[in-house]
Amino acid sequence: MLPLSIKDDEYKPAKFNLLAKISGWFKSILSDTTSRNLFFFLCLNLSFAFVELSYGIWSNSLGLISDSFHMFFDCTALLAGLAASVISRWRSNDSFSYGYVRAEVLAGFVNGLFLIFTAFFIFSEGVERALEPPHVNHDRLLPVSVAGLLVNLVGIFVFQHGGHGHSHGHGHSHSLFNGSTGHGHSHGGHGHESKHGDGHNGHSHGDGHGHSHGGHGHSHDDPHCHGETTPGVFLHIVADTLGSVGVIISAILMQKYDLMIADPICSMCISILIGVSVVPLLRESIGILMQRTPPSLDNALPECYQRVQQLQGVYNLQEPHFWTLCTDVYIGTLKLLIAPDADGKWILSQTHNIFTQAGIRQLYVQIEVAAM
Amino acid sequence: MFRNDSEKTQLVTEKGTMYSITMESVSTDGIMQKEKDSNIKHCHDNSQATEDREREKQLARKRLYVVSAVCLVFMIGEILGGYFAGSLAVMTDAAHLLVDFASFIISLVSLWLSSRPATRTLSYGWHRAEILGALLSVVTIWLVTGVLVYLAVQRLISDNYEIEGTIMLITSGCAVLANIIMAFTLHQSGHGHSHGGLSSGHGHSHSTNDKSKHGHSHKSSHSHSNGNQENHSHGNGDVEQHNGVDGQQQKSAGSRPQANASVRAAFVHVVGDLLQSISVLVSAIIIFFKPEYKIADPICTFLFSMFVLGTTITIMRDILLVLMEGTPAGVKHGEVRDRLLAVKGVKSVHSLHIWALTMNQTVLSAHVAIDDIVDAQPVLREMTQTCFSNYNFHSVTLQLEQQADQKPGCSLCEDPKM
Repeated sequence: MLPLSIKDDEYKPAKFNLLAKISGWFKSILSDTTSRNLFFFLCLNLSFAFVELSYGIWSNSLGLISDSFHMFFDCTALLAGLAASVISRWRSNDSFSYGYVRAEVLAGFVNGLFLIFTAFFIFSEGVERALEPPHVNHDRLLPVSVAGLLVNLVGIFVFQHGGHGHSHGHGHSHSLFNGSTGHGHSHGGHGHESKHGDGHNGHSHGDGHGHSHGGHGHSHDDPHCHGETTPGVFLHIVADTLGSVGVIISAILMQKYDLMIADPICSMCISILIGVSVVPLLRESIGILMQRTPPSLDNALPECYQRVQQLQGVYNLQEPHFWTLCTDVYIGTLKLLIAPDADGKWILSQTHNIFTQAGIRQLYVQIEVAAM
Repeated sequence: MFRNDSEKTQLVTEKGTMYSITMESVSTDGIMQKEKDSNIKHCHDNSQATEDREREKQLARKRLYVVSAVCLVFMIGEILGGYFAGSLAVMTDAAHLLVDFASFIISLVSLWLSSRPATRTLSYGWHRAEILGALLSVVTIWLVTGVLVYLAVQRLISDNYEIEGTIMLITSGCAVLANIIMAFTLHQSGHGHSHGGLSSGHGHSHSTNDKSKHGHSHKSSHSHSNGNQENHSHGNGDVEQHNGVDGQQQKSAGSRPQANASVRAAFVHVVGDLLQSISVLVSAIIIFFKPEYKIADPICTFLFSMFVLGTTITIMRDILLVLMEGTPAGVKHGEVRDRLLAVKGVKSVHSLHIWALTMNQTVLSAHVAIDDIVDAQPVLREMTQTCFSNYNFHSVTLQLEQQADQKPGCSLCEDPKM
């Protein structure tokens, strides 16, 4: 038997494959605007963090080092988002019959978690410092926070349009997030440092997670999701910017008016803001992960059920389950009990039509015929 | 379920005419039920999943209660001891135990949450809460490890720390002991045996295997109370209640029951803590004998932090598999497809999706094209039967279509590529 295809993958040396894979990832990242932006922003943040780390080690400033750790932490969030964008474009296979599109939702969730933890840490540090105000060293404070602010502004400018290059279809989820970014917040970098007696902060925690990905143009059967997590990136960056601003303000207050209490108060306010603004993001991603019925369909579904039950021959609609795979991709299953003399084919196609109109394209209808 | 009912019917009829009214009503019920059974096979007749899940959850809950109690006791002891001895090391360890305790609480809460009934918005119920709780737990492990590494780096750089060898030794000894107790509770509940009715076989490395660190051949606690056995007598079986098992036919090649996610997450926490305690013990011993080697402390921390991160890998993989709607570990997509295709009258199967609600609750949905001349209902029944008898699915939804309606070029009908 002649082989119909020759798989010479196994004969390639492993190293070569790795390079090919990595270059494949790069291509994938650079192909899409948002992920490209995210990638460059990540690089910017990473380099800033490295600079801070090396400067801190060289000048033996524990505060700078701890701050660079914080930046690295944020870079991981950005990295997670980037990874999610690459991963969600992978083709589906036997282990993941729906493909990898959930990666974005996961990245959004993990990012939300990180933000909550960060807010919590900053709050606790603020409280600590309020109780025992340490001496804050101002020297390096201002320049670093200004630099951080600049980096954040770059981020805002870049991600300003939410990066929804192509995602126009799902106005709702975006507007929810963009609306809530109004009051952004940032985990003010002043998180730690001062604690170690070295002031310095304001680093941009760029972050972000996930971002809208390609979506269209595929010819295979994977569902396309549109920019589920770009709002999250924007949120994060605005948060950071405001944090930097807050730090600068408190630094000025401390220098001019010697108001030491400004720092911890700033931290606490900022952490509360972070917490509050992350809540919608978390709610949405948790809802998706819990297989919740899509909130946008909350009104449409009962109507659909009614219409289906009014079809001729349908006795009962049982066990409807509808859930979101990723933004705007809804999947549903249900069981219909029909009369023995009803036209199953017609009922099936009508049901599909009804639900397609509601936006559910993947539907599984199990039709059972009632006994006489 | 209806087996019990018929038993009841027997008992009542034996009692004679005194219960004539009840007897009648019961027997009519019995008759009706039998009729129902022969004409409409209820779609949930074959599903063992719910009962299994109940058993699994109860077991998990018991274990978590015990472990939380142990943890609380040790933690309070350490806090008191640390306070009176004025030792920072002890307090840090108590903090670590606190985090562990928090994760047990998270596990318990998520278990409780997942028992809540289904609502209209959460039509499948709250099962996923368990997985999210486990994810939260694992993320906390990472965070704690991160903080420890950070502190260790701080120590390395600033080099101004004092270590009291004796206190450290005692504390870490206690901590190791506490962790071992907890690990045992979560991992093993007693007897490993092969249940009757199933051919022996054994020791497959469980799909959720985490061989390395602690020499068991399978990790974590699995309460398998499920029916889909295919030979497993695990060496350390926490094979508790096998009541349901004995009557079960052997399910071939099917899914192996996986460990309950909450308990696994708690177990991973305990293992992580055990490793950290061992690292403290090791460095305490080094420092006790050679006080100048106090650099052993941060170095041990680094080393063992790596191990801890390693232990979280398997559970993370499984959590991610569930959250990404992937095919669960014990079920093979191709195999299920082949079984469905083997049913008489089935021409093709497409859009087959198998995913998990939580560790042992699997959901299947598919579009099936059948022969135009064949009657749909028996085929449907047979396919559902095949699914349930070979795997332990939570629910199965099959959409039957006519072969004539299939579009050969439809890209959505293609199988997922390998």
